[in-house]
Amino acid sequence: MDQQFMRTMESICIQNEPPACVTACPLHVDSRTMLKLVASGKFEDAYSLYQKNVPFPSILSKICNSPCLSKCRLSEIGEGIQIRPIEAFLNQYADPSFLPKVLPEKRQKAGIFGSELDSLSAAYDLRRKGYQVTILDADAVLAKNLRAFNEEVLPSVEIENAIHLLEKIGVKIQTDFEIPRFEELSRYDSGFFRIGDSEFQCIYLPPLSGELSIDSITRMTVTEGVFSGSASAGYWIDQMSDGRRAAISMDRYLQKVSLTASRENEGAYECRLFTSLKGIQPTKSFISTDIKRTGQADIIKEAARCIQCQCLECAKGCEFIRHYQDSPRTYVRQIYNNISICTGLRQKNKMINSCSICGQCEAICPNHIPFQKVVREARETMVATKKMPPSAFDFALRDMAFSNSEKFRLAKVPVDSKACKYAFFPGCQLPASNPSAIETIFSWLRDEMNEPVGILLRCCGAIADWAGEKEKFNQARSELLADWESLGKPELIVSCPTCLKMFREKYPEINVRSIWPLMAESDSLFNGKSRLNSIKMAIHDPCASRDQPNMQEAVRSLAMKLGIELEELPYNRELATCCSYGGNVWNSNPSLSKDTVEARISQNQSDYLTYCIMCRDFFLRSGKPAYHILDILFDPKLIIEHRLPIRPDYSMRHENRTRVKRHLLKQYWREEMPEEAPYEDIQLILNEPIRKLMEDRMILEEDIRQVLYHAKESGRAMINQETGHYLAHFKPSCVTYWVEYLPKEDGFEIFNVYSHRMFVEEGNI
Amino acid sequence: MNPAPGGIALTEKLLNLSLLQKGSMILDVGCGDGDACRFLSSEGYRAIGLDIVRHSSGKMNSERIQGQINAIPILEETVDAVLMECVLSILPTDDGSLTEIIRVLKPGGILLFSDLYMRYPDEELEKNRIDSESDYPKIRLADELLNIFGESGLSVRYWEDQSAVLQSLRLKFLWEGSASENKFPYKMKNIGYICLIAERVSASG
Amino acid sequence: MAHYVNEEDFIHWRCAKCNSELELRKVVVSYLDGSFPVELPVCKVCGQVFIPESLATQKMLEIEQQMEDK
Repeated sequence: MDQQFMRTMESICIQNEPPACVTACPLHVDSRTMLKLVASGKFEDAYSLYQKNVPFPSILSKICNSPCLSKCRLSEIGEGIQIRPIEAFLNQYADPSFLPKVLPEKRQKAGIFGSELDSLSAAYDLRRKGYQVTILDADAVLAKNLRAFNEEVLPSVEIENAIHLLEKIGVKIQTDFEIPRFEELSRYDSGFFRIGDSEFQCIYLPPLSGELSIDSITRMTVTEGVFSGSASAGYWIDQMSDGRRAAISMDRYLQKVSLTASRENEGAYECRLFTSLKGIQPTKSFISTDIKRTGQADIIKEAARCIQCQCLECAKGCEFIRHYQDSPRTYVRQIYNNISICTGLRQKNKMINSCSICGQCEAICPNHIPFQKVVREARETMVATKKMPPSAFDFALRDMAFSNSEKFRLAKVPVDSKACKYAFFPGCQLPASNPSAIETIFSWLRDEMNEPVGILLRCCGAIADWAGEKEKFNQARSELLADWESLGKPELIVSCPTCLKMFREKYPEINVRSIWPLMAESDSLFNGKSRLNSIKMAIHDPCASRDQPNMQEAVRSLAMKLGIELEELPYNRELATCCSYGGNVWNSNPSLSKDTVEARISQNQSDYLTYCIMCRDFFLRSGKPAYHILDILFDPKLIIEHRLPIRPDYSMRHENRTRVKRHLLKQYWREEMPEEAPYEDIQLILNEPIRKLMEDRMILEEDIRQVLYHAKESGRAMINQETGHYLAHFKPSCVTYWVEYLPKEDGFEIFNVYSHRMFVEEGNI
Repeated sequence: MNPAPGGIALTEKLLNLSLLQKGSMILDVGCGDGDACRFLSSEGYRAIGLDIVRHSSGKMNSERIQGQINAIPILEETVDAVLMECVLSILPTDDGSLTEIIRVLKPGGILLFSDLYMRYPDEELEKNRIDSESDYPKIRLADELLNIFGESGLSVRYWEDQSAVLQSLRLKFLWEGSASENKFPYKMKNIGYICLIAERVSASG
Repeated sequence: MAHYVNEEDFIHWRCAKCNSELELRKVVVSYLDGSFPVELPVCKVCGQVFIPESLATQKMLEIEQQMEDK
């Protein structure tokens, strides 16, 4: 992932964009936070925030024309938040002795003509930077236009205080100077402007008659060193902004640095933050038109009306985003940093490995950020640069290795055929969870299709793809293609939504079709089946079905034919939610996996229906009654008697896959499975607690068998003198397993199992 | 005394990168127990070990002289190469060691160098480095090392990251946990190990 | 050297093959290209090592995760 791509990604995630009230404000007061503080009674903090952005808070808060009001999102459906009265209210929390910090004195001199808000603000800002600032005006009475306000609206004492403040921080004031016309100002060769007896390096000229043309970014007139503004007299906050922007330019001019760098977003601009107003009720303002009737309680209520605009649309769907509590824009940068600069914080590796790569955030995002692409590439880079933590996806990859081993893989054309037009590809998980369904489907397909149907058993490689293991994926892919060719390049009939997605994206050579429309339209499947009596279920679309509406429709049609009354879950269809199988998250981040499942199963009280077996199994594991559409199709008694399908543990999953191969081979080809490994006939006696321990620690029966076999062959074991238990260990490939056991008549009773990856050298005697 | 990270395997790598002819005279500065000298001798080089400690705790089958690196008791322009493994980082800055090394190297002589280095700028590491004295290794950025060599009259021909050799060090610190924290407070992740070949550019002055 | 395994963790275990006691001895542990000698209980006769559950599931696991996180 190169820097350009990262920057593009960063720029299109809008979560960190300021909300409408901030972008509409020429001074960019952080109203969103200010309102949050007021709503929780933190008035002093709220005032500080206001004052940070506003030079003369007690003046502006009384007379601001509030450009924020019409831009507040709430004004689209009702009344916007009245922020100005809240700011006026906060003035009482001002610290009367407040003096802004002034930097050490600089040599340069700035001359500021005029004394309205623009000039006063420019003087304030420049003086704080340490420049010698002089305000030049005609009349001893400054800020004439400001004084035009009613005493009740803007007490003249506030204006006096403002001028007094400027004097206190060292701004000089010289009256008796008519504000010159622009043409009258010229620089001497020395680079100075001479005004009366004083010399200035730069000048601010207020836009009195509005005819001065200035560069919209630099705020400089055609005369170098003379700056001005663009606001007309009436818009006080724009005047302040003018003064501020001119001061920035004048500071840079005096320092002889770029006047144009990083000047974006000065002044008001169009808001880029998307905030959903879905479900927001329009409310009325608590601020009375007669301000005297508005008390503190009303102020707080008004501030509490603020919906705290965010775009966190993706977080509404995805547990991963909620968990890491940030926006994709930040993740992209974190991932980029992790990969290229490799600060290697453990969280970041884990974060990259905890995304389901399911594309939900992309589908939700108003700007369609392809976050999954970023994550997938990041994992590939981690693997290529040997930075991928081995334990992240090891167990999942071993599962894939098993599926592609002799114990499961199979490619057979029907007996008496040399090739087949179709082949059934059930994927690796459905056979693991529901082996008999495979046999039933295969039998049905052979009758249903008018052409020979073969069988192809393998893992499509999704697991390696998710793990960033390019090489392993390519190997799985080429082996699959070889098997497919040996069958005569049939069209594959696929039941797993993930496999289907993989085939479409990574195997363009192969024609595939989903089994679900076939089933939905088949008469023979429904022969003799009675409809269920309107069983209510909530349907969960697996994340891989996201871009396959035909499949989604077909399953719904199938369900209805079976008599199921369907409810939709939120975040279904294009916004389908991953159960945490995607991206191998269940392996790399078990606790996030658990939270993800729990968030999903709590969205509806009804039993869930789905058509990905992993989704079903994850729901079942967390205690949610869940069924696969095939459970209902082939075993309706389950539902009628309200029994739950059996969710096999990891060891059983391997067993079941081998069972499918063995049965199919025997039934259709009259062949036997190849030889079993020597340890496979070791009998294990496992009670419930041990089974649970094995499941939690991801230790399989076959691992235990290998340890026991090795112990027998080598004679090496430990014995406990108190309990008489034996303890043996063995490392089949990367992990060392320890098993505590007792040999019994009918097998080995197991008392404890644990493992580690670190290797320990032992004596060889 | 612990051998340098990477052990003899890394010494061998440096040797291969240097293309030194057999029989060349190689001075191992900070030779410790003499593991590298033993290896160099067995490979057909003439190895001399220099260390501030007089005796080696193991058998040294090559010459050993006692002395400081910033005052090497050898005539100028005598040795074909200097081996400096994990030494510079534990020397005080600017103590004259590099000058001495260059002095005893023949013009065109080779420095075989390996040491800890800072892989990327790190504020905390910077702070520790500046604030502390003696005990803590001086972990420098690659660019800084190249500068230091350049200014001393050494032209760097080649360098590469060999941080993988630090894995054993990492494992050790992780096992010993808090016991070793005081000795090495830096965030291990940012510390790497660098391998470098430099050449003394023709006679100074 | 610090004790990574308490005596009580291995006092009741013996090597079944040699019928001998276990004693603490330095063995080399390694992971991801790093290795380091550690004192662990080992059969006096054949050198078979004993790693208690607590060591494997706590300290070793933590270290493995730290080493992996490069």
